[in-house]
Amino acid sequence: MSHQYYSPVRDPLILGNKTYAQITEDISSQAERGPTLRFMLAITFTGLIALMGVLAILYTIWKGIGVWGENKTVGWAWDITNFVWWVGIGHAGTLISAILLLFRQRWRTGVNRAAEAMTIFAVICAGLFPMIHMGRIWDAFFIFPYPNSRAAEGFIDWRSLWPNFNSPLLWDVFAISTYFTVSLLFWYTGLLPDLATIRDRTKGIKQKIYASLSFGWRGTAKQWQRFESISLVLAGLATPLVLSVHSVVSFDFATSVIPGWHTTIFPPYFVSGAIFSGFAMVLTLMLVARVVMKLEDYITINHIESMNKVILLTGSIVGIAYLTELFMAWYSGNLYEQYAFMNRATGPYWWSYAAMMTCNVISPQIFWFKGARRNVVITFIMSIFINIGMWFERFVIIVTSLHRDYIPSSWLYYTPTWVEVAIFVGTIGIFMTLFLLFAKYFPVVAIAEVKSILKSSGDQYIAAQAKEDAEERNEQGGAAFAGAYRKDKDQ
Amino acid sequence: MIKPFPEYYKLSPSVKTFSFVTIGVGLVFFIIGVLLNLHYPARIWSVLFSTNLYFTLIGLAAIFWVTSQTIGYNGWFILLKRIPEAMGSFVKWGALLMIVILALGSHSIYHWMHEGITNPASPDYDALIAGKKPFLNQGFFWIATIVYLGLWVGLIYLVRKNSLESDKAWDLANYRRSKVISMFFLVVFAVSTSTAIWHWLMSVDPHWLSTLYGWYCFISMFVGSLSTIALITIYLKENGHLKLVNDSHIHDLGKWVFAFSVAWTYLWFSQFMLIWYGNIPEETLYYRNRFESYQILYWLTFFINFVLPLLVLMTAGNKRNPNVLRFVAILLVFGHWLDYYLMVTPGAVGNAGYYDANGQAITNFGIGFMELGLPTAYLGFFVYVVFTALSKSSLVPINHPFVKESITHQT
Amino acid sequence: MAYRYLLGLFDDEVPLLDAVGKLRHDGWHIHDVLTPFPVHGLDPVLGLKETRLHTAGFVFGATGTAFALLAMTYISTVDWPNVFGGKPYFSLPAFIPIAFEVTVLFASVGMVITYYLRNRLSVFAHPEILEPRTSNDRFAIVFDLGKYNDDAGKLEEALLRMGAVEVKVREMNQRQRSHNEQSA
Repeated sequence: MSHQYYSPVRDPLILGNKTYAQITEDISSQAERGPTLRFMLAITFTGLIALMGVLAILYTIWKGIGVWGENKTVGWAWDITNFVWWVGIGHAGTLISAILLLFRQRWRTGVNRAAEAMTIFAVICAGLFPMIHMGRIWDAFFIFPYPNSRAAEGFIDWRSLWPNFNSPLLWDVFAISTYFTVSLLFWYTGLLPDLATIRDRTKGIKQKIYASLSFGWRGTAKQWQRFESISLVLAGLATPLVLSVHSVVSFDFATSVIPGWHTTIFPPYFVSGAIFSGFAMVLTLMLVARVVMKLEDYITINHIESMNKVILLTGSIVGIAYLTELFMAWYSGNLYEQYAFMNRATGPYWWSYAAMMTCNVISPQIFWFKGARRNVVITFIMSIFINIGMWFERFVIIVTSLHRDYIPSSWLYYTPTWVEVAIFVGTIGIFMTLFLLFAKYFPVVAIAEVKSILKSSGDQYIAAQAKEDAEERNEQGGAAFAGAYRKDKDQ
Repeated sequence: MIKPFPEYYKLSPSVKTFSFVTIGVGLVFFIIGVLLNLHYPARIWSVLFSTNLYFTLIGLAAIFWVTSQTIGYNGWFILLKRIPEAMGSFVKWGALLMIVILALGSHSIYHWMHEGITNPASPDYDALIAGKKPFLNQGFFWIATIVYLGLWVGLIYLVRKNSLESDKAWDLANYRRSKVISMFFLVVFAVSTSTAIWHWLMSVDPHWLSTLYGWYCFISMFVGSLSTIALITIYLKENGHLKLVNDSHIHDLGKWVFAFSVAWTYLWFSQFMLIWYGNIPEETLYYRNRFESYQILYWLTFFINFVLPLLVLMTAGNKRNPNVLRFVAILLVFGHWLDYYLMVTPGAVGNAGYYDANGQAITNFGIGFMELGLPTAYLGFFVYVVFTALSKSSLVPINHPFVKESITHQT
Repeated sequence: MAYRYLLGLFDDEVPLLDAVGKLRHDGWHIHDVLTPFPVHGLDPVLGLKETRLHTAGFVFGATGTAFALLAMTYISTVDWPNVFGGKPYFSLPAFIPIAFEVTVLFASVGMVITYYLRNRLSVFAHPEILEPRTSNDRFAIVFDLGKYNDDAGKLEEALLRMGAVEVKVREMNQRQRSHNEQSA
């Protein structure tokens, strides 16, 4: 087994000359300590917002969907916008833990745990909206296909009433529930060793709780072998899964023949927008968490820079997709298609289009500059901008495409009611509350994974390797293998 | 630890023989095919165009792979870096031939270039194509073509030049420069591949459009390129070169081929399913032509490009096995050529309005002398150019800061 | 009856890997190895058999695909045929998304359940912990003193020579399964 080499050209991912014991201490002591006053205040605040959302949801269920501002042609508005927005945010976690694992990006270990938790909470918030939108939420289980007696016309007819398998909305049911299940399993399976670490450090009732939570993890060679195998396979499964989820969400729109919706680029463009917004939300949360929880040594400025690069990449893909759509709308020669895009930019909802373009395409270009990528304040502001911009993107796609259909007499301007706003803000409260609970009681950074990259990415090891390499080069007279480049191929 | 050492490859007689024989035999077949089809110029030019485009784009996508890995700080691939860089040197030849082919044959490939299509007084007037005139006109087509090809050739030259300069001495400035050049290349690549595909490929069926088409074509060329990289790596390794390359590198190449074959299917399905579902005549036309007249070939591309890699390369053992990977990669290079062929020919031949002796419209000529001969000749040409480029420098970029990571790479 | 184990504790993976290799070479039977994170390259040195979890995953996944496609086909063509949007009863392209999701669902849920069963992990599992620091900063090589009772001294000496920072003897109420038994 040869020793693996890591180039000192790489930026360190763990700062502060850490040892294994210090990593354990820094991360698990956060979970072992009791709640602070600051934490109690924060969770009360987010809890109240969540409560407001829950009340608004109950009000909607009690009175009916009529309390929303939807009208004749705009049958989908804030609810589906919020749904797509939250699902999109829920893509970052799986991307970081699955796709970046396959692409060998070691910086993901610092942020993957929190991002995966965020994924799960975002999918919970997303899942609420289609359920509320059904109106009769108590019949929500009808969407699952199972043998039933709903179609029975007497004793002889035993047939079931099935959902429509050709409907993208049913694909959504399968995609979102599969995604939620798999993300939860992936996340919790990865948590077990770290929960065991906390178990082995605590006493009394806390130890009992963490012993149950850690499922009796022992860290034997065989357990780790299976752990690595399942992590890889789940990553391999989660990669196409995460692509499929937002693709299926985009099919909700693209399978129809509504101008502005029926376009083949939607699946990959939605996926890249989802990653874009997901990373923005990870940054929003982690920039705060790393300071409050003193995790600057584990979520370093190098992590932030890497995430900003992903934001720049996915943001540019989204930008290219916008321009492709615009070009194709013109190129199609289809009057309705051309009008739909004209109306987006210059119609009554021009302000949402302007917000989308500014926040998603124009402002992220600042990340071409290294200085901006490594600046915490700029990054935080940009992450908020992108969250807003991506919300408006979905609003533009959904509302502006719907509000003018083929009969001008039904053209109406949609405005949300206070109930819709309260539900949306309420889901942010639910999301934040869940995240705060997670950050308080669970290891917020993947302890075992960070330890496994300490020798390759810890600052002291990188410095030592750099010294060793420099000495090696000096021994050989400065330039190793000078003259190896030959122009004369006969040499 | 094993230190990096320069390795030199000398163009071997077997490669030379292979190239000359394939070029010779392929050209003979092609010429026979041309002589038999002098009445059907659309067939001749569309084969020439799609084959030339495919091999050019394989070279281009190889550079895309290197530059994206450079930007992504990947270390494992450094030992293989010179292979895609050498593949990039085909692009200048492809670009040259592209200009010749388009100059002589564009009229036979593109229906929209015909006289009178955009003239309201003409009996051939087509209002839809006339509406696209700001994009589909000879002047813009030529300017854009020359700009794309020029940018590609220029940037590929910079990428390779910078990489070869790194062999002179250990120089971090060179590494930093490689990232800047890579970034420029990626930006140009991201925009120009899509727009070039619209100009060159989508306009073959001038009424048809699909917003995804540019990205779909990109994935197709990328899988072709990755398979070629895998083939060259395995060939060099088995002939005693690339001594530092181990199974883990082969495994990683296998992963890339596998993953992007699945990604190709994802885009194939997205485009097909949405058009099938929407069922709008202008859009379904594209698939109707292919399913009706090219059914076997069309499903063959799907089988080779998706089913085969999915089933064969699923296990880690097969990805690491050079013989299995070579088998799949050879078929994939062919499968994606077929994909490109089917992007051009059905449209070009379908629009040309050919009739056989019985007055029946000819929509499909099938695979004949020319369709077999031309890709064979191109393969020989490609191999000759790429292996010549490989022999011009060390196979190992010994001073790259990540080269030792690549040497100790283990999965 | 108590079970006694001897633990050689290391503070890093490199000496651990060397020690495992040498001890096995010298004919010692290593009962188990406990580490705070997966140590790359331990499996071949310890002689662990490859896990078959991924094969199980493939079988679960294939079951899911078959189940989803058959169920949708049966429902749409036999049980209750309906025309939606002018599409045929058996409209395969529309079945692909659900078939894919069910494949992933079956493969991952099936694999995770198998994983938990094989690793004996559950809310109710409260195993005795040999050494709490193995989830923190220690890498332990465990020997069964039921087998090597008389050789404890020799073992301790060998472990310390190979870089162990500490050697401990622990008495447990439960028998600890060895790595061979776990892979069985």
